[in-house]
Amino acid sequence: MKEIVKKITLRIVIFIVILISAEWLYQTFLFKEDVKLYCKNYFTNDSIINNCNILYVGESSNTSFNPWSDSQNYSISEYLQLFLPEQKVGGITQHGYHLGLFEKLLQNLKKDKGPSVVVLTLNMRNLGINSKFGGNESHFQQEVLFYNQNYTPLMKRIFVSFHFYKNDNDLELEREKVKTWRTQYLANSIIQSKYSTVRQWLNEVERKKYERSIPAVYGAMADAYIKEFGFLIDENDERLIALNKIIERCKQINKKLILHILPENRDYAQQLFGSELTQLMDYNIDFLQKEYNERVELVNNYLISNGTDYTDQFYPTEHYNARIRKAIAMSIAKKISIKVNPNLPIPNNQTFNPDVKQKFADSLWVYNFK
Amino acid sequence: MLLASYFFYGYWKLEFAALMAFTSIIDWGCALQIHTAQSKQKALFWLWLSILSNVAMLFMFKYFNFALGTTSISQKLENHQLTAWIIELGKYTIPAGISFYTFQSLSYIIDVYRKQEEPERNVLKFMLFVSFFPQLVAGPIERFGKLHSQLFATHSAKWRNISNGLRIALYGLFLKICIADNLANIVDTYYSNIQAFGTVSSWLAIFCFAFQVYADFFGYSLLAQGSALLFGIDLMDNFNKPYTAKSIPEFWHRWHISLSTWFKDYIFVPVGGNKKGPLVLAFAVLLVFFTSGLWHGAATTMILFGLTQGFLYLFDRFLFSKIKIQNHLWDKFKQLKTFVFFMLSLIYFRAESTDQPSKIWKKLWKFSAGEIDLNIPVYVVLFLLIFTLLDLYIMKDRVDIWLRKFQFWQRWLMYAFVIMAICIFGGATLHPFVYFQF
Repeated sequence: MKEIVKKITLRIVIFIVILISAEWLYQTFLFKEDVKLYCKNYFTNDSIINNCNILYVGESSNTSFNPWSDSQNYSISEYLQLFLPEQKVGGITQHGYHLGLFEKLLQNLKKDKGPSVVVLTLNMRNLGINSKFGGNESHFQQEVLFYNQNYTPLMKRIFVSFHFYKNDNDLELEREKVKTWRTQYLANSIIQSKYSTVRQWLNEVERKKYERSIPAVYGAMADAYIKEFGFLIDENDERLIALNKIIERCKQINKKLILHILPENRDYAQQLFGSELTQLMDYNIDFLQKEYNERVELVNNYLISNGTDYTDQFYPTEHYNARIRKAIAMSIAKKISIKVNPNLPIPNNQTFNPDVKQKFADSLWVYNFK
Repeated sequence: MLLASYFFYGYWKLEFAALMAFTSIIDWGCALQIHTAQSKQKALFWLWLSILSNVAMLFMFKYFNFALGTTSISQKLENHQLTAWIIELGKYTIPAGISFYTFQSLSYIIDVYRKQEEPERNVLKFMLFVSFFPQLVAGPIERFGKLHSQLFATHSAKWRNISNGLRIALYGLFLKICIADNLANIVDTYYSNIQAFGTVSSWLAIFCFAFQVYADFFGYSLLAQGSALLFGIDLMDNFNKPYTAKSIPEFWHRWHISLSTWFKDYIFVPVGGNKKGPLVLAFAVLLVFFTSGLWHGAATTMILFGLTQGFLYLFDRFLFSKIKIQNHLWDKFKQLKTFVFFMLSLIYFRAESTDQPSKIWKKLWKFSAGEIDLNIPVYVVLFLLIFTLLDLYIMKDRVDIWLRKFQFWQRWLMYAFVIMAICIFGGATLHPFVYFQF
């Protein structure tokens, strides 16, 4: 027995020496290249976080613009900068990210460094089934491994190789999605939907398509709206749990958190299904409003848009035209100046300063906000 | 061990563990009935009941959607709770290893019917034989006689078993993580955009796939062998340097040996084998490879893969073997020919649709430059070179035995290299073991 213990001890010691050497080799020669490969925006995001005093964290809604109608292609975070010229606004845009991923990304925030205000966008669709089982999820989960402060570089690389993260493949995600549509009821103590599940609703649409009572051009659109907005959230939602962690962390490191609820295309949902779908959407927004109004500075822009303000006319997205992007920035800027930093002037069209960046200097247009 | 095996399988999907338990209990019961049957007819009835229940399970979860395709029946079934549940289970996830454990179970029931094995009276022991976790999801497909006697013998922890098991598993991990996964990235890049690549890249891609699938499956088999050895269980070798085979018949004696011997014992020989003339032999060979294709997957391309192997087998058996030349160079040529035949037939194995193989064939034989080239990282080339040299020329025995020749410090230098390679250079994209889907 003693002999075996001696043998095992010797081998464990050698194994540890090998791991330490591998850690050193990897960290010194290869880690940076791997970060560039597997987490493309890591260094850019890190630099933005450390060089601003207001951090805007968003997904594609931040930078998408309408190529047909927009004369100005500023992102929401750029508009925010123009409304708050004395501040240094940093904008992080991670396409397809949601609260669960932002929670990992924001682990890079330090207590005594970087922004004092964090503006976090909340996209209601991201709390839905289609997003939760979206095809990019595994890739994103791998990406955010690199933001984790608890792992050494070699550990991160080993986790990448061994796929030690939520790594469902496309078929598994599709299966979960279909299963949830079939089994999750569209009802609670407040809401009673005509259709008990998304699956049933989709069948009904399918029947109408077959009978041609839905025009073909709207058939796919109707499917998409049901799949994207057909859900009811509750406090156990995994992404709201991630949001709660962000709130806690921001408190711990003295960052003021502004939670911004993005506008959704309620207009088209109403036109497609009457109040059947909008009652679910409204319920979800009310839930968020009630749940977070007291806990963070909340900016709710859910209702500020019209159907035609969206770049994507046949699929629900949060890609807005300049009017909405500017309105969003204005509302956030107001919240910052009223609630967070009373020393700032309350922004309006007069304080909007297109000269704040050279590239904005030729701004000529003026728009009256709602 | 039974609990550990079911936990291992059920952790992934509880429904599928229940399914495995259900089929195991049926087979266990049928085997007992066969043993006690008063007449041959009764024994035959229980045998067919077991076979049909296994085939039904395979059909339901593996071939149902293939058979239904996108018919309106499929859509109607999806609207009912129970059938929708089954379709969801089968359509989006096939129970991992269902073909493996079903075949293992079938071999037991047939052996009991043939009176080659005594039936197991303890249902839990039989369930462990079916579900023994190291080889549950991708083989090797063990026979009852060999595995059962080992599983229920008294074992004590032995240093030799532990060290050998870890050596085998480490090598298996290296093959999977450093070679198969990295090659898979290259192959996937090619298959995702075949039109953009030229002739050279196409040859490179199918070459890479031949080694990807080998390293992947051989790697898994080694991991299974290594982890079983930790418990004192010695599983059979599933590969024996297949790329050194000089003919397709020899190749199938070296590749996925446990499946090849299964087909030989339960299909090839009962049908007539090579004892009833060339026509029966040809029929038996084609039947075996047709079944083998179907076993590999519910797709037309898999059946084509199987049949291609069958025809190549017959070509080698009846024509090529007639050429009698005793020459080292000729032997090398035969090895190369066999490898190229197999590599080309893998085009069907890897294809995602029935029209994909013809596109690749055109790319291979009609020279074109291509808009982009496949890029193979230097470290992947290095790993592949090491593997090829070891497998074809250097390692004459199983890895654990081969390593015994070296001194302690030499072995640990090799381990250090392998551990570092696994930690630092593993493929980043998720590629489950290729044979998990079967």
